[in-house]
Amino acid sequence: MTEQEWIMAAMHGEESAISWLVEAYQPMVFGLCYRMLGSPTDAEDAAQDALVKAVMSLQSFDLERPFKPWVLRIASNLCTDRLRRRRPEVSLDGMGDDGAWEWQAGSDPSPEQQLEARERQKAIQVLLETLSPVDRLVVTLYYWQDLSYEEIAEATHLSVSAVKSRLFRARRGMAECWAQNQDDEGSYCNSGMREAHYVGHA
Amino acid sequence: MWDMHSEAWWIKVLDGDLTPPEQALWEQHLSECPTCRAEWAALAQLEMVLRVAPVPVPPADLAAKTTARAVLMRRQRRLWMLLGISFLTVLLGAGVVVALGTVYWDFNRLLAAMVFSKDMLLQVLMRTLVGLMVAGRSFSPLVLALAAGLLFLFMPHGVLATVAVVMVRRQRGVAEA
Repeated sequence: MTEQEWIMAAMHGEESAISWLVEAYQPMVFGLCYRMLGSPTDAEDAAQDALVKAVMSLQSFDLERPFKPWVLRIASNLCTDRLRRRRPEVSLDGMGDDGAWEWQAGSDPSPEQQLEARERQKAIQVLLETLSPVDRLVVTLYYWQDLSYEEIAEATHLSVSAVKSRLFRARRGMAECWAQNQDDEGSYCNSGMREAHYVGHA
Repeated sequence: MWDMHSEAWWIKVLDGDLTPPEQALWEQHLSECPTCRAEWAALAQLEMVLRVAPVPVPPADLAAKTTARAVLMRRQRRLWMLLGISFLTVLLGAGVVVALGTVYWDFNRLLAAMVFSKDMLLQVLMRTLVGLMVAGRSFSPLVLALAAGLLFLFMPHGVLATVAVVMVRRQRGVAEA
């Protein structure tokens, strides 16, 4: 069966088709939620809500369009709402210790490699935390969901040029933050840094 | 001519959209501008860090839990829809009965007849009966359609199929006769 046939079957309430859709899209939806929310527990909760919402709204899905940006848009909206409702200060202590990320199947990491990867994961989440919810979403969709500029624009309700601009500024801010972190080991830059960063240093 | 410190230029560079001459100019600029060189190096390092980031893997039972919840919610929505339709049908039926009663059952006269006269009672009952017969004839298609609709919504598909087969056979029998 093709993806469209599965989607049509799910629209008619076929349990096996709903199961197929959830199985196929839950890794990317969970990945997006995890990058956006920074906590495995919150990500699991949000991914479940997003996928259920997608299944319940299937009647409004246009079969002529790709499904991935549509379902990611639902997850993005949900995560952005949750981030906006959150308090501004989010503690990252202990984040990553409960194993929301794993090594790709087939690899057998040593404890040192695991520790290193965990630290890297934590550092990436700290970088993402310095961004606004929309910028974090754009970065997540670009780097880890492999969406094109057009698809990101569709998922975020931004124009393509706004997506490019936001992505560039976010990259620049994160790069500066990363470099600063490398210089002063362990002291992550604060979230105000990105706003202070100007674009174009001529 | 591009301003190599502009956002548009940097986006073009990061997207890998430079032509060979532009690439040469850019490399020359990097060798001359320490600020751009430092930023370029920082961006390249960030790119590497983000591209090799570990992939978050969802909990093993997330798909099963999500499917179960989605299926349950769909069933609940369908049930509420059927209840809504049933309620509206009953409401419509009650409305029809009240309307018929107002038109054909002359309650006040019926009451008066019961109190005052047997002849009048008979007359009123006859009028009511005739009225109901007329109404029954004119509303019978509507009542049949409602009944068929309810049957279609509530009956399992197997029973519906059986009914359809029986109906087709009967029609064939009539045609053959």
